[in-house]
Amino acid sequence: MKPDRDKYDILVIGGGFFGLNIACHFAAKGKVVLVCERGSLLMSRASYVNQARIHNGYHYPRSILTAQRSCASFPRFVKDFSECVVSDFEKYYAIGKILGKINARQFETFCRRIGAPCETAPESISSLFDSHYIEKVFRVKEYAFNAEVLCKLMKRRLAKVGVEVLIKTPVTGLSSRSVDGSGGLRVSLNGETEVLANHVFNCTYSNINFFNNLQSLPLIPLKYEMTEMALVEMPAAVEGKAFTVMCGPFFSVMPFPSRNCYSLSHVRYTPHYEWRDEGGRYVSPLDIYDRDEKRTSYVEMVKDAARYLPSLSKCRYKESIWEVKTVLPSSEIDDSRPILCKLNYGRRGYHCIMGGKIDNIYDIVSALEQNKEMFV
Amino acid sequence: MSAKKDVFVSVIAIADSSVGDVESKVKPIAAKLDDCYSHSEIILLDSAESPIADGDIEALLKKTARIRHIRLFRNVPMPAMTAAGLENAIGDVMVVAPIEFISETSVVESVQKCLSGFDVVCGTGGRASPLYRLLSSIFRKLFGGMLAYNLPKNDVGFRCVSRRILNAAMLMPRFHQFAFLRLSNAGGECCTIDIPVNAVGRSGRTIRQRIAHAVSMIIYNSVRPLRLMNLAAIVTSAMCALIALYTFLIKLFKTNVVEGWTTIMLVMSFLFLVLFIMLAFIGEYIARLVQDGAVSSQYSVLFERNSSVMLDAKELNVMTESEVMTVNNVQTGRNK
Repeated sequence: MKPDRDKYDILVIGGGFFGLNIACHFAAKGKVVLVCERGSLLMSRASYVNQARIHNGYHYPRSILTAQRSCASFPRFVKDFSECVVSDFEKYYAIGKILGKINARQFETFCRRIGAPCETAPESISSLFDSHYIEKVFRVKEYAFNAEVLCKLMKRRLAKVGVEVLIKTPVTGLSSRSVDGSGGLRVSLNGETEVLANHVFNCTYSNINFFNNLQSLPLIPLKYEMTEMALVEMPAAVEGKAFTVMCGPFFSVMPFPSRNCYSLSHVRYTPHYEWRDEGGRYVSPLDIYDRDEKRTSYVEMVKDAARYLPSLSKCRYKESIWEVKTVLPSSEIDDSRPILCKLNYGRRGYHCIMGGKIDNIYDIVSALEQNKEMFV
Repeated sequence: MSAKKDVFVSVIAIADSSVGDVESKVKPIAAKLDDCYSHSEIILLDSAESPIADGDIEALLKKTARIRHIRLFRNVPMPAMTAAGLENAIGDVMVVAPIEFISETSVVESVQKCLSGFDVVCGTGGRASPLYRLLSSIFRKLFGGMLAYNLPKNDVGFRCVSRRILNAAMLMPRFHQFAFLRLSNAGGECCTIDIPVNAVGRSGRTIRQRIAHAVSMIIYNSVRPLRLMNLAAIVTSAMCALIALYTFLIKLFKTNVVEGWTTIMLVMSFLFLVLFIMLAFIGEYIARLVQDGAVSSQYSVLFERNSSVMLDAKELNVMTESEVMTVNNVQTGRNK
């Protein structure tokens, strides 16, 4: 596919949720924006392969900032993207005893602190859990989103603000437009076409360092995990309910609306292996993803989950979906999920953005607004 | 880049009606926490029996962000106050002490020590009375080993602890009653820092009360004295058996034994033998009960109030670096 123009104000590499929202943000301000996606579909990778959770802060008791921002963004996201919100299920958080990093009282105090609703679950739900492993169960307010509906919504918004979108169009080259590094970038598309852009946003999630390596820029220290999400059908006893056990090597089972089933994710078994970008030769995570054999660890996931919630032993496995999850090394300490924002990284006009949580999109837009003089 | 350490610090200040101008004590600490750490909170802990003036608290909550005020129903001993503060804090690192021992310097120094790898940092300072020092020395010599009593001398009740050591200590029996001992014995590394002491310590306990606490510590933390008594009972019953044997042998080999003496001695020996065996068994069961005993909470919260502003709503969850610079050797990290 060829672009309509040869010069743009903003060029976004990556057709995931973050890239599309950044494109909409600038287009709404009157900028001429182009989005380039290497794949054949928008929002088909990390924006799709996740637990489809609209966070309300509960998931991050050890990172008050991530939790607080999730809680603040929750009502706004639910309102702005109401078409894709799925809320017709009950959500429970259970506090693990052995191996847990927090206790029930700490969780309750934390929820009160961030303003997230939290009440003790009824006995009919608590009794589903093995009390030897679970200290307490709470009913919370957390929704899911349908990624396919969200993608359609984003496409309409992109069209409305006049963003040009090219799929099957990988960016193959990036260089400064002028010798002294000022004045925008030359961007090579598909190895054939070249366009000019005042600002280029690298929103390629796990592939972010591919473009840094392309330009011989320093690699951003990142950690990658080859992750598996099992898609299952829930047994009748727990149909219509979603559960997350906090806070340690536990699991979470959530509705996955775009496939009309549930996703099962486990802190210990979802990441199959990990690696980092550290010196030496750069290997694109997408290449590692393509080469991976993708052997499911569903059995381990469900066996461990069933220790806490015995009903889960009757789950019916459908298939697994896979993705390379990208984590900031700083998140190792407290499981936080901040957005990485590196403006003018290595050269003027080239910006790296990496966000791991869809509902935190407002924070990056606010951060860009705080630097709006840069994009005039 | 911000110079703030990426850690959540809770400061728990234990106070009462003698605190005076609480705002002047708390505000500098709040400012220091704001300067040094990405997230923080201050918890003011008092009790309804000797409360901080309500007007002072109201003013403080209105003017200073991230303050929590927790009031307990009644005065409780210092370990229980400390436990109450720690249980209600949500920080990664928690500083707890009587308010007169909390200063900007002591907070920053103790937090730094904690992050460097010491799960428990104890504050020491001042000098106790000669009589207390003598009794304390005797106690440490006689019972220190059996209780694993490693609290520092001149302990002022100042503690800086990591989240992980608190979670471990809270699983141990009678945490409220022996919070200091539990924190020190939970398995983490401990160290001390000097605290300038200008006033009498918060505990203000009399020698009699301290002796009573020492006795409680012995009874509830070690069954060795009870086992020693059991051993004494068994030895005594063995001696009774020997006396009975001796009485019987005397009767056999001597002809001038007073009539009735043998019978009385045999009966008494037998009864005491049975009595001491029973005592030994009962003592063993009591030892098991003491070890297994569950304890109810030593404190109850009357209410909690918060600052008008608890969270910094302006801060965004956006970072410019992927790695964290703060060294935190006491964090509960990921499992891999």
